[in-house]
Amino acid sequence: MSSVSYIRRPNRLGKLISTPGGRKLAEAVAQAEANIESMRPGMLAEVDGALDRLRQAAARQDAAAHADVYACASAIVGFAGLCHLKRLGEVAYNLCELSDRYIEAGAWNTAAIAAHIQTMGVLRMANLPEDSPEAEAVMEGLKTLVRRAEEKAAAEASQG
Amino acid sequence: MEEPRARAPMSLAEMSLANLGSRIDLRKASILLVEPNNQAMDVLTSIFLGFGATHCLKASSFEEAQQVAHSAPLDLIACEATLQPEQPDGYEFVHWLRRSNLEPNAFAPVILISSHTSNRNVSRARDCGAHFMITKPLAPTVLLQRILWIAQNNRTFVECASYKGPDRRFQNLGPPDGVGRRHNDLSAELGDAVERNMDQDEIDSLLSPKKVVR
Repeated sequence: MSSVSYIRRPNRLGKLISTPGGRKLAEAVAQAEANIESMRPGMLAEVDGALDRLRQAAARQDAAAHADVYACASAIVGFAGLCHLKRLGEVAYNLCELSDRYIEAGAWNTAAIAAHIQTMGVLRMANLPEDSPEAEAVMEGLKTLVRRAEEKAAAEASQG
Repeated sequence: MEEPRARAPMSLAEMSLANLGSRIDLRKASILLVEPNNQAMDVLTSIFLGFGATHCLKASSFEEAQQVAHSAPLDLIACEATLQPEQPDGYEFVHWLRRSNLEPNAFAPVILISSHTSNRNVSRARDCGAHFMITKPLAPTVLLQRILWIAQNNRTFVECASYKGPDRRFQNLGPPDGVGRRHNDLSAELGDAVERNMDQDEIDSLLSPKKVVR
């Protein structure tokens, strides 16, 4: 039977954090958010760069292309939400989920991936307000496209 | 030196930054930030600067993070899960750190950061020995909640053949479905009493032990 040890160590972070002085929590959060806001142009450039690399990766046929699609989508998730592009971030996250599932299953649905990339392009360029009916319609359109693409692939697989 | 008075531990649900008037002092904390993307590193750094941190050490790869862990005592580590391609990632760094026997860094609080956790990495994230995993986009409020929780709840470290890291149990709900898995676990069914009930004096003596004077 394997043994289990329980170890306690002094809480160094707890001691440091609770020393008198420092910042009020509200000030700390506000300052951090202001710092992030000042970096918005650089983060938008990261989103655009990752979107370009994503389009290129999706067009490739080599072995690393699928992993690159996942990596680019993942990069967009990291920045989009910080640039007030919440919807774009959601689509990128869905693309991470989808591409990860395809990689695990050894399958790849080009149409479903392309639908995500086109939707991200639309959301980036159209500058739609996050909660507008138009943005909602774009998201619904993506769901429909992906569902159709997966149904078509499933039908082809069952025939072949 | 006198230990600061221990605060009552707080559950994660209670930690809603409701007490925004209280303070956080990270000026003397040594914080390692591990992030391969320059822009993301700038974001992470700017958040910690906003929190009042003044001593952030930076690493962009597994090897650099190892070097920093060898060179300085760390009070907190914020590590991106995905590091350089074809190299060990953030999960491996935390796994290595926990088993490195580096004092005190092997026990340093670690927050892993990830945009998306692939199916392959879910169990690695659970088992590597990090205190928390948070998802991007980084929200300063969420990061601060986790830091405060770590600071106020000094978790016991568990070491066994398959895991070394902070105790992952957040709730004690007893055995699943009320049934123990070990041969000496007591039954959930209570039988009839076999002895007389205790009287109040006996109960009181159990609840308020007295110091023995010799």
